[in-house]
Amino acid sequence: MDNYLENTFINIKRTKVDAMRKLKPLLLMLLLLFISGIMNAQDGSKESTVGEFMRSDQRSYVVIAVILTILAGIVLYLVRLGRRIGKMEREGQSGSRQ
Amino acid sequence: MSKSWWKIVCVVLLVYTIVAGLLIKVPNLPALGQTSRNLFFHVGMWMCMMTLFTISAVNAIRYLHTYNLKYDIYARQYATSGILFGILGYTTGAIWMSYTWADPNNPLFDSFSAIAREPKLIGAAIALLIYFAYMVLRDSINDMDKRARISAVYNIFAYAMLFPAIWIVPRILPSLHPGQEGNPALDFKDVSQLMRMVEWPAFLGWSLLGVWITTLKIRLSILKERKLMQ
Repeated sequence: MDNYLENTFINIKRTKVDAMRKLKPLLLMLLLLFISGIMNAQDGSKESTVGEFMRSDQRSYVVIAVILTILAGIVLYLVRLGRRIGKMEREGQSGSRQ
Repeated sequence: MSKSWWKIVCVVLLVYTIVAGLLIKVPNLPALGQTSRNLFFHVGMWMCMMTLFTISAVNAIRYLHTYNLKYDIYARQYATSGILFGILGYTTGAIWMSYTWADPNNPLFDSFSAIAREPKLIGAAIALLIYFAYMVLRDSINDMDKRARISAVYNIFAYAMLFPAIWIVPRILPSLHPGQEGNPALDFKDVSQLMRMVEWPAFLGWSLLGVWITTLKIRLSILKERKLMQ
């Protein structure tokens, strides 16, 4: 077994894998899931100012935060879609020139 | 990014619509209560639909003017997005009316039959069905130029039908919708000034969102056409 050890090390190359690219949205989602927890974590005993604001006015700001998050998601999706289409357009133009 | 300033305007207007639309003080009207805030959202969908159908008709005319197939693609995609926002307007209207017009004291069926007679509901359904027919008509013609020409002409007719169906007839017949005596959504002398401050930005914001979605669809379908040509 030891004889082959050297060769095995040579064959292993560090290549960038797609795993991280696939993990990124997952990590982002986890961050978004825990963001409210992170915001509340600063102050255990006393209410933080963010929490105080969100709970005022019959907690209607919570609804606004939810709707704004949805809007942000839709807008981000549209922006990314636009960029992807732009990339495809540029590829199509360079392809037709060849 | 040179052309993206209006997208930023769109996002700012929509954020303003949501924040101000939910926070401003609205007059507490009988039966409506706080739901008059839906003016910024439900009516916004219909305004967006009107804008998109208008752009679609303009592009149909431009096609007939130039016979450039690009405008045919524009007209088609704007009509599709208009239908989408029309359906959203219908759905949001259904939710709104369930808690305002629907009479909780009457049995469900009686209450529904009273609402189903609402001329604006029928008019909007007719208008949307005409645009559905536009899609069917388009996709049933194989020849590209013939399809573009026939559907452009039909598009103008469909647009002309929008006005009696959703603007004129509901105003003539007894209707649950406001607007019997004038045009309350556009000219609010009877409702608060504060609401008008949110209303117009809301209409513009939703319309821009509709245009934004449609430009993406147009670019995608032009790409598809180009791929077919190659």
